[in-house]
Parts: sequence; C-alpha cells; structure tokens
Amino acid sequence: MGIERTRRFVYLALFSAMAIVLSMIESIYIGPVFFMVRIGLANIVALVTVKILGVKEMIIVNIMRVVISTLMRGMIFSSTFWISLGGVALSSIVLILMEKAGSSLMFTSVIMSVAHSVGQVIVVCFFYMQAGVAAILPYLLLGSIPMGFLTGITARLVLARIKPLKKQRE
Amino acid sequence: MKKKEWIILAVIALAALIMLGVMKMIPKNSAERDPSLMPEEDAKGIWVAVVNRNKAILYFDSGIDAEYQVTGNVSDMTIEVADGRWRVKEVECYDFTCKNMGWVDEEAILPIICLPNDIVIVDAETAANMISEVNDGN
Repeated sequence: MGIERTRRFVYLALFSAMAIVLSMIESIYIGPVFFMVRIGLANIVALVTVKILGVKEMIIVNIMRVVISTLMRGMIFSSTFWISLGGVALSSIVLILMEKAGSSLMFTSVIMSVAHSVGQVIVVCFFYMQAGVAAILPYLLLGSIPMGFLTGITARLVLARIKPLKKQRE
Repeated sequence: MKKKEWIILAVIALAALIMLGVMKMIPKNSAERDPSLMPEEDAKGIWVAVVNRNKAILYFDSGIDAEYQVTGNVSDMTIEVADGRWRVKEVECYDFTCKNMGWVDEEAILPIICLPNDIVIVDAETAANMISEVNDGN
C-alpha cells in the first residue's frame, strides 16, 4: 500500500510538472496556431491524468498548472490568470461529466477543448463588460474541434504506453 | 467515436457556422458621436481608439500613415498605421496574440486585444460605447 501511495504521488508530481511546462511552452514559444486558437497541449496531461489517476488528481493538476504557470510568468491574479482559470474550470467540469457518462476519449477531448474556449470567452466578456467580445466564440469553436482531435490522438498514444494506476487499486 | 458523438460535434460546428453567418448580417454599431470621448474633427479614414483600463489613451486617424507608441500594464506597444489598416508592430509582453493578429481594418469583426497590457484597439465609436458602458456601471 505504501509503495502504491508513493507511486501515485510521484505520478501526480510528474503530471503537474508536465502540465506546467507544456502550458508555458505553448504560451511563450508556440502561441496561437490559427487566429486566436491554441493547441491546448496541457489538456493532453489533464486527459491522461483522469484516465491514469482519477478525477481528484486531474483537478489538482489543472489548478497547479494555472496557478504555477501564471505565477512563474508574473501574471498571478491578473486578467490572464482569471481567463485561464475560467477555461480550465469549465473544461474540468466537462471532463468529469464525460468521464461519468463513459464517452470516448476522442469525443471527451474535443468537448473539453470546446468547453475551454467557452469558459475563456465568458471570463473575457466579464472583464471587458462587452457581450460583443463573444463574437470570437464561433471562430474558437470551429478551431477547438481539430485541436481537440489533436490532443485526443496524443492522449491516446500516451495512454497506450502507461498502466492505469486507478485500476490497480480496484 | 460513437455515431451520437459525431452528431453532437456536427451540431457544434453547425452552430458556430450559423453564429458566423448571423454576425455577418448584423449591421455594425452606429452609435452617435460623443465629443467628450472622440476627436471632433473629421478623420481621413476613421478614428481608432487605444483603450487601456477603460480609458482611451490614444486616438489615431486610420487614413494617416504613422507609428504610435503607447504604454500598457506590462510593456510598451508600437502601433503601425498604413493604407487604412493598423497593427501591433512591436510589443514586449510574453503573449504576442495582439501582434499575431496582424493587420486590421474597419471591416474587421474583432478588435486587437492585448490581455497582459489590458489594451483594446478598436474603432472610436465602439470604444466610446465601451467606455460609457463602464462609466454607466459605476
């Protein structure tokens, strides 16, 4: 039991670190692929975490990723932080619902990507007090679908190579 | 993926396309000029405002080719105006989304937004509405 617990902590730490690094690489070096649409590399880690460790751990990884990556860029509690948190909160809720509904990994990834965009747009609308900012939403929705497939395919490739710890415990 | 899941994705994509179509059909905002928020003289092109923290910090004429320097929350920003279009030429923030948006003109659906600097570059009439809406809320 002790080794199992330690292994889970190690995985949690590794996934958190990977999510933070991917999030920072994407925001600093990669940027938007098309218009304002980003790949969402850190979503791959969220998908892998929920399958390998479980829902609670996925929430921890996502919170760590938002807090630490914005803290390291000196943007903690700025508009960027809240927008990022809005996207991550909604996509995490959707991921939990999809996981409970037993949806396929690819569909979960795409819907999660869409939810991330919607969450960010909602927070941006609040920040600028302009419902018109929601005009960006259709572009983000259309861009989120291929990006969701991309992250889903990557997550599937990763999951094929790692043993799920949550099943070992059952 | 199941058939039902493909249908849901198709519905989302279709909804996004319908939203784009509706946006194209909606006429652009034509609010009356508020002289306290916009330059009074006529522009060669249109008046464009640079809004930072809900205040217009610069107005420029899109018909006059020039470069402008403004300072946002985290860095300076250079705005270039040429041939009736404008873009963020240089910015020192970490994000570069505003710079990557490239050239924008008065027909553009989206304004240039720089989140780290809290700067929105938008036509002056829309900016007047943004500022007055915020003021009404206070």
